[in-house]
Amino acid sequence: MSGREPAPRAVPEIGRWRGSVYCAAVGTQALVALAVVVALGTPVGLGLAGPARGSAAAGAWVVAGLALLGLGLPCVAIVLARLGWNGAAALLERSPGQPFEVRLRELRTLTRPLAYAVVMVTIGGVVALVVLLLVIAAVVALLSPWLTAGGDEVVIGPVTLSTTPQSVLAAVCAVGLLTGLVSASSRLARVHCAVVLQLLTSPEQRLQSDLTATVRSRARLVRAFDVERRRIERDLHDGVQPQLMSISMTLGLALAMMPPDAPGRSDVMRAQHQAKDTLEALRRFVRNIHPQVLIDHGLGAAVGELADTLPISIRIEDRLGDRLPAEVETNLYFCVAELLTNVVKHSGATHAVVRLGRPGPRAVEVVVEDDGHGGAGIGRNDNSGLDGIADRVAALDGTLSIDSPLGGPTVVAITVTAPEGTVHD
Amino acid sequence: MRVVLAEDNTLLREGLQLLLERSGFSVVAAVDTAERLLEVGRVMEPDLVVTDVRMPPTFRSEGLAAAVTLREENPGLPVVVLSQYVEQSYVAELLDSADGAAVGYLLKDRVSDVADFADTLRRVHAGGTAVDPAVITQMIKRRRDPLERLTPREREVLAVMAEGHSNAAIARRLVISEAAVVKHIGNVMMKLDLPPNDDQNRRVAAVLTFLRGRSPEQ
Repeated sequence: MSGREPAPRAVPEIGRWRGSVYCAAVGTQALVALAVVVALGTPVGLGLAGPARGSAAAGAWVVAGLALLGLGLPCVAIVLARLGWNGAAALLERSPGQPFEVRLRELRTLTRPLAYAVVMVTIGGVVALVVLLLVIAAVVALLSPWLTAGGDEVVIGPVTLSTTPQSVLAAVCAVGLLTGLVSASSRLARVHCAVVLQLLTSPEQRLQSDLTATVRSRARLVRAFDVERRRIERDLHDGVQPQLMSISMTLGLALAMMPPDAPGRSDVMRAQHQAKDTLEALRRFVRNIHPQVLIDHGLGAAVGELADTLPISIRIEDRLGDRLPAEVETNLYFCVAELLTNVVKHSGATHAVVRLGRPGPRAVEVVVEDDGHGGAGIGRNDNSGLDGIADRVAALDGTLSIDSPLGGPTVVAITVTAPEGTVHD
Repeated sequence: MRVVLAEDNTLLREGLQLLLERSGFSVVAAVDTAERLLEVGRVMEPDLVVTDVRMPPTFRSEGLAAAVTLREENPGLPVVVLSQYVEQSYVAELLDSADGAAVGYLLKDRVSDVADFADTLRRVHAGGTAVDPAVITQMIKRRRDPLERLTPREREVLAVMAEGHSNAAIARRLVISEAAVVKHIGNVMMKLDLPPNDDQNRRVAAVLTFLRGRSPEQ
C-alpha cells in the first residue's frame, strides 16, 4: 500500500529516532494536559478534603471545581486531539485529510476528542510520568560517577550511591535503560498512532477514505491499461511489423529477379501472399489496440476511421473544435469503440450516429444513437461491454446515461469534464 | 532519378534502399529522422522524396509534416508517403499540399510488389497522384451516399482512376476495352457532377477533392 493513501487501519513501521522525538512530544502533551486537568480539578479536591470550613463552603468548592472541569475539559480535549491528529498524520506521512470535526452545536462531535483526552490523561499521563521519572533517574545515574568522585552521595529513589564502582555500575545501567527506551519508543509511537486513528476517525470517515483510495486506484488502473496498450502497439509497430514487411520486401526482390518460368517461383509468390495476409491481419489487430490517428488527429478523426471499418452506416457529427487532453480522448475513444461494437453485434441496427460536442465550456458529450431494437443496459450478460464503459466513465468522473427501450432506438450519452481549449500533450 | 529516402527502421530503410537501387533509382540520401529529411531535402535537390509517416522523436506524423513542408518550400517536389495504416486524415493533409499533384500515399505493403511500386514512384515523379487502393476503397465507402448512384463497374473504374492510372492502364487492369473505360469515366463524372477534363492529373485531383471535400471530418 502506498504511503500517500489514507488508510487508517494499518500503521507502518516508524524509525527509532523519529519515534523517540514523537514520544517526547506526545509525552509532554500528556503531562501538560494532566497538569491542566489537575489544576482545574483542584477546587474539587479542596472541597472534598479541605479542613472543615462548613459543608456549604466545601459544596461551593466542589461545584466551582466541577464547573471549571466542565468548561475546561472540552477545550483541553479539542487541543489535545488536534495536536495528536496532526502529529500522527505527520509521522505517518499522510495527507491529514479531514479528521474529526467539532461543532459546538452538536455535542456528539465532542465525544471522540473527549475519549481521546481521557485516555491520554489517564493511561498516557501515567506512561509519560513513569518514562519521565526513568529518564531523570537515568540522567542522574549517568552523572553520578563525577558526583561520587567529588565525595557526594547520590540518591536515586530507594538507591543510594556513594562509591565510584557503584556509580559506574549505575551509569552503565542508565545507558542500557536509555537505549531500551529509545528502541521501545518506535513501538510506543505506533501504539499512539493506532489509538489516535481508532479514537479520532469514525467508521464513516474510514469508509470515505477507503472509497477515495478505491476511486483513485481505479483511475490509475484504467490509465495503466491505456499505457500498456500504447506500449504493445509500439512494440508491434516498431518490432514485428517491420520484420514481416522486410520478409515481404525480400520476397518481392527475389520475385523481381526471377525469370517468369523459374522453378519455385509460384512458391515464392505464395509466401509473399502469406506475408501480406499476415501483415494485413496484424495491422487490423494493432489498430484495435491503439489507433495512431487518435494521437495525431484527435477523437473525431479516430472515430471516423473506426466507423469506416464497421459494416453498418455510421454518421459522425464532430463539433469538438479543440483537441482534448490525451487521457480524455483515449478513454472516450474506447468507449465509442465499445459502443459501436455493441451496436454492430447486438442491436440489429442499420444506421448509427455518433455526436461529439461540448454542451458547456468544461463539458464534453459523446452521444451514440442507433436505430436497433433497444433493450441495452448495464449489468446484463449480453451487453457486458457497457460495464467496461461504465468503469471508464467512472474513472473520468463522468456520467453515463443509457436510454434503450425495447424496440429501440438506443441512445447512449457520456458526459465528462475537460478543461476549456486544452492542448493535446 | 535522385531519391531521398526517410525511414526510421533500419531494416526497412536498408531494404527500401536496395529495392530502389535495383529498380534503377539513385538513392542520394537515406535518413532516419524527419529533421534530417528536411535538411537533405533542402540541400540535395532530390527529384523525389520517399518518406515514412511516423518518425522520431515523437513518433507521430513527423515524416508527413516534413514532406508537406518541403513541398511548400519547393512547390511541385514529388513526394511519396509510405504508411503502415489506411488513415484518411493523413491522405487529406498530403493532398491539400499543391492540390495533390505529384504526391503518393501508399501502404507499406505495396513495396513488396517491386515492379508496381517502382511504376508508382515514376508516375508520381511525372506529376501524377497515387493513392493506395485500400484508401480509395475506404473513401468510396465513406462517400457511400452519392456513390450509390454508381454501378459496381463504375466504382471500380473510379478506384483505379484515383490511383492515377491512364485509361489504357485502367482498361488493362479491369480487362475491358479502352472505349468502355472512356464511357464509364464519362458516366462517373456526370453522376458525381464533375466537369469532364482531358488532363489526367486534374481528373484524379478532382475526384479526390470530391471524395475528401465532403468527408464528415471536414
